[in-house]
Amino acid sequence: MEEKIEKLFRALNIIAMNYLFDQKHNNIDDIKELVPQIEEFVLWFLEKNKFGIEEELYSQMQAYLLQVLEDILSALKQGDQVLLHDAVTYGLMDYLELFVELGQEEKENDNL
Amino acid sequence: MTIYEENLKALSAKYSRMDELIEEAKEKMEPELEIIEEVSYDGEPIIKVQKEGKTCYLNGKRNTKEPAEKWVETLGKLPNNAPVFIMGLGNPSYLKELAEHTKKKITIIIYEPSFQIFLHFLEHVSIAEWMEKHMITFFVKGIKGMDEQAMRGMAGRVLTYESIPFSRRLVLPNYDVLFPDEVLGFVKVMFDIADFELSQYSTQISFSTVTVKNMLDNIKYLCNGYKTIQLVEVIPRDIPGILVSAGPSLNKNIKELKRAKGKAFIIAVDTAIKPLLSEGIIPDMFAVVDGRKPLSLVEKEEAKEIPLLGTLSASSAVLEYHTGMKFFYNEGYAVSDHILLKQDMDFGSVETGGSVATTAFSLLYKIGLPCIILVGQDLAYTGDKSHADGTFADVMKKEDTKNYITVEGNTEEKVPTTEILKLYLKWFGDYIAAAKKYDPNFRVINATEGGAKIEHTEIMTLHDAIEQECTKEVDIQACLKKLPPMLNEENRKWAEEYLDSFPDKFLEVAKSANKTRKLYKKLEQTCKRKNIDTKEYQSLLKKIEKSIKQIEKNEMHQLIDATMINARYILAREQFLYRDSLQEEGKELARQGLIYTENMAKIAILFKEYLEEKKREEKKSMEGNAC
Repeated sequence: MEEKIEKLFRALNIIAMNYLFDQKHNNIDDIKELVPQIEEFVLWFLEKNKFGIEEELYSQMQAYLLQVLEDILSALKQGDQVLLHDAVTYGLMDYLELFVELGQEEKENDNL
Repeated sequence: MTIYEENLKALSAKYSRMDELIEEAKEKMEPELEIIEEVSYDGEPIIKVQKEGKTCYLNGKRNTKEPAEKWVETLGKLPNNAPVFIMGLGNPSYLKELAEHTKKKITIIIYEPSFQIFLHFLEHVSIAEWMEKHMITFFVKGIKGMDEQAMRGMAGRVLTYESIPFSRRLVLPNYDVLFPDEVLGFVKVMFDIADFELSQYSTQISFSTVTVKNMLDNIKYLCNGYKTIQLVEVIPRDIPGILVSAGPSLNKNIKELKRAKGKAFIIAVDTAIKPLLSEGIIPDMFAVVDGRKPLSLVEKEEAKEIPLLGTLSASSAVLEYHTGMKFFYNEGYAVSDHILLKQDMDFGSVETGGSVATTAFSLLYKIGLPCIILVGQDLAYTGDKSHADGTFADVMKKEDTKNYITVEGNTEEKVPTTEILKLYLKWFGDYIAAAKKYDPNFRVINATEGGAKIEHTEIMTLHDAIEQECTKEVDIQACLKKLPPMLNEENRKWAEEYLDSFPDKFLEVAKSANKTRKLYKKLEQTCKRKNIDTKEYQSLLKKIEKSIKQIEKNEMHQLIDATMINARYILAREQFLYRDSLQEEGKELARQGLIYTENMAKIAILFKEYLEEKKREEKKSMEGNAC
């Protein structure tokens, strides 16, 4: 699963960078293609508390992730690029990053 | 005072009557969308918009600022006066980041396609400080005089050949979803202007000296001339306008025009005059704007008295030959505007569009005629010819057009044309579209019966167009005779004295240029030293700036500047460029400044001598006549 998460993270990261740095705001079609992978990750995360996170925090995280997913699906339906970017980049990717070694490494490098 | 009131005050301080225009639009506003206010997770006010069944956020609810911060990061160091075009105010973070994090004073042009969003923005975001720091102009759909067309004019002024490499453009996310047509229009404006600027640069170089010489020769005609805005007072609005151009198709239906005489306001371009007069048709007016048009094109006795629409930069030989009423409009030259605005009369402008036909077309529209019929407006090499027979030659020779670009034709599937004609074709299409938006009843009939298809026109034969539209008798010459010259006696005398002061004014420029040159020399020496004295450097720059401003105040500066296109281009680019060190920057500034001021002084003296020589000749000729 971790490989799949990393792949998904990388794909979404490219779309987010295009949005932020190249002003390529039309992210709808690219993210639509990734919906099955996104849903798979959400289900996987919601399935059980795999990492022994404190239960209350885990419940909050579950609820928030569902909200993120709801925003993603609603944005795709409306063609809303802003909400989609926001939900993916500042919502879903924060979760994905927890499982992506690369993300951690990059953060560490940034701190150096 | 509320944020809204503060903003109106800041706007009206910079742009007179803007507060009234906004209030006026507010009263007339018909809601076309719904703005839903929310608060983001980090406590920022955000909005989403509901329009035609779509709901879209204009700011992110988790992170409202980062997209704007990153965008500004990507812009890099923006140089002074760099033009930045933004479409949309729905997420004010973009403007905020740009205004607050750009050190140099830049030009920000904003187009908001929704008046409601603009109002919401004015009610919630304080802009006064940003407007102090930068040159910010707002254009908003639905506000009179501040709409897309006004933005086009403004964009044309700031998006120049020199500034294009430093310009930036942003369409806020989701605007293409909510306002697809407006986004297309906005982007098209940018591309059109850039295309036009690039094509005009080389023309400007070859025309610059001729333009100013013509200007100096022609400006005297303003003393007894007329202003195009006066036409509005006497031309009836229930007749059509006919624009006769000199395209190759003119020969097909020129005879028909006889039937329209006395039933329309017929304006011909200069090149169409000879063929028309040969057919016994005297147009009500003819237009000349080209500085290099040979006199032979209009050299016919009957042409002398036909009222003329002219520009001051038009061929002085043609204007001298012509003895009838001459109509002018505000062209943006400080020297002529000084005279044109002397009499308390409205500012009269005509869109030039780059050619004599586009200028004449714009005049007909501005007069307020409800329908314009185009004749000979091929904008293409119909039958492989550039112009109608009887213009430059009795029979125009055929050109080899096999490598020409082609465009959709009126009667043929494809017709050959050139890049420049294609630009005019675009101009016509865009201009008519904008005019129709403003007045849906405005009509343009393309009765060329050949040539390129012009968007938004009705294609008709000239016979049918005259039959349908030219139904009312009108005596245009009698109408025009009612008009007094634009200047009354007192102002005419003032204008003559003002023109007499030109040689002295040129001398003043030369003196000031030499003074500025000395400052540049000092700057050069300062920057050659090992350790630069920053205070001295800054003080010199201030003095130079002051001295240049002094020169720019002189109306003659604009004319001298126009003859120095190449030097101006180098300098204009210079203002956008950074140097690695203060010393290098100073040295480069001094080098360019020395070249520029030396040329300026030389040209000012040349013009002074030219005018003095002309005056002597005129005096001699008057004395000769008296003898």
